[in-house]
Amino acid sequence: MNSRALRWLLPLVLAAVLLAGWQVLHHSLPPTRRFLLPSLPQLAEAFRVHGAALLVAARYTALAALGGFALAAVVAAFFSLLLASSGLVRATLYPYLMGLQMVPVIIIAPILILWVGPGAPSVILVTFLITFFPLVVNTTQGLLSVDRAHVDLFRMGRAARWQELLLLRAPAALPYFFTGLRIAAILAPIGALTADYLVGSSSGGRSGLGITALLFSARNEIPALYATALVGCLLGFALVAAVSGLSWLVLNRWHDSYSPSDK
Amino acid sequence: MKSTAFSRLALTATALLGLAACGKKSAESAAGSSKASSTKITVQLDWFPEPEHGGLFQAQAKGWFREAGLEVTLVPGGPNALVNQRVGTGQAQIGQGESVTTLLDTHKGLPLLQVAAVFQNDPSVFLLHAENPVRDFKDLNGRKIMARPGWVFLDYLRQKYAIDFTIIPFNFSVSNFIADKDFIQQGFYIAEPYFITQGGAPAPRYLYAWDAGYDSYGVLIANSEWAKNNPAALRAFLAAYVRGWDDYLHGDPAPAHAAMKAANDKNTDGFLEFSRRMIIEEKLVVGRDAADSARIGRLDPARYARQIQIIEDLKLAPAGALKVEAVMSTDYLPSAK
Repeated sequence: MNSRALRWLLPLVLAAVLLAGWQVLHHSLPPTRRFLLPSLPQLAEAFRVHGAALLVAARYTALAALGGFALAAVVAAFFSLLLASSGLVRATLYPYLMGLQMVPVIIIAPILILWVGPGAPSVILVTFLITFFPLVVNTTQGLLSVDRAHVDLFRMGRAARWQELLLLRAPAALPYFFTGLRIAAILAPIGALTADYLVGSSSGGRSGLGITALLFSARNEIPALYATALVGCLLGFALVAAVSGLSWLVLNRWHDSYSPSDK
Repeated sequence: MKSTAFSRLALTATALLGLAACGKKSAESAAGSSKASSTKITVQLDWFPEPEHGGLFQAQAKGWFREAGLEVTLVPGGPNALVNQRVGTGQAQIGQGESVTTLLDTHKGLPLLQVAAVFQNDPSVFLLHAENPVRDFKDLNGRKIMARPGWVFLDYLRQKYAIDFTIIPFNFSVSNFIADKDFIQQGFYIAEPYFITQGGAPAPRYLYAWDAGYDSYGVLIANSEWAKNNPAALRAFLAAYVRGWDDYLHGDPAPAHAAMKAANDKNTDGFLEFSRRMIIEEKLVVGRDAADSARIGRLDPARYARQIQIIEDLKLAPAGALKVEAVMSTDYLPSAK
């Protein structure tokens, strides 16, 4: 009872302390430098003035993040099945998949702009590139981490290769897949925001949080810049929460990590 | 072997997916009032819509491109607009940029032709605080400057004055400048000063690139192959463009400003008015040595010869590689027939 109340109370107390500290820090700066850390009322005002625009930009970035994220999930699932099918395939493909992850986005950006053009498709592709790797690594690991005894059982029953993959390995890999999804869910909004900054476009007056941040920065609207950061942060939380929820839906009835003894 | 083919297939598929989506979007934005027979022109801007694009937006808003049988789409730019690359590859027919950088891109093989001046002087300058001890370019020796690392003017300064300085990559913000009395940065002096004074700092002082003999234009660049095949369309475009500038500067800028606000909701009336006033007072479009609007768009071959000389002196291109008549043309401007 007491500890349950504390669970709610302590984070709120910490929030109050942090906000108070923020406000104190703002007032302790010399007046000419206070703009570097806007006060809380200034931040609230930024939300009031730019809230609608931020919402539009957040929606744009959220859709791009989801697009890249979904594309990565599908492609990663496909590649994981391929990679798990044989050691030879793994040895052949793996270095190239890693290479895909290792080419810095900042270098890919200008190339993407020239090939695909600035805008949503490029933003989605960058998000895909950023989120793809943790997904494929985790899922492949899951497909390979099946209980040896279960594999033997399938082989004794003369199960076909595809039956073993779909009926045994794929379900066993699901928790790993969701771990990958959770990492990807954290990366996707950051990726989409950065991508918007690097390869986005403001065609038709529509753009994401990256370009919005750039414009606020160029115009020295610091409170609005802080507000943009907060919105980006919330976007990340929302996606992680959604993936955690999905993971619970899929796994809670059978996987150990959701069993009551773990609570 | 099979596996690489596979990943290539996947990559191609995603790229195609992207291209398809891209095509759909541009078709959407281009869909407006248009006739089937009109020539489509995509203009790649160097930055988010602002008064530096006044002539384009006024002509567009007043319908003068459409009257000339042109269906013009103005594509906003930004820090990664890659204007010359997009014009060179035909993703846009016309772009707005800076003349010396464009000369370098022409030398690298991009089919670019500079066809009209936007500004008689590129408004990129150094911004300093009034009390900064740096009084002229020589004083920049040993200083730290925030600027675009690729700006040719920086190499030019190093060579001309035999000085060196540290470059911090330009982050398109004036916050450091406001916070730091010793800060020196590159800036568009028709834009940044507004945000500096809005941010509570006194108006900055400028070091003008042209005072150092770096005489570059803000220019409109056309894909040279497109220009060769569509001379009438380009002439019609530039006639409407020059008319647009004239009207934007001397008439009511409201149509252009409304369009700029629609394209970029961070544009406030205060900023648009400031930037337009700077363009007028500094005679950037008509030229500092001209009193009337007869010079709008004019390009001077002699100035191009000097710019090419700068590039050759910096060993950025071998002597004779760039020819004035191949990099620019005044043939498409209104009074040229």
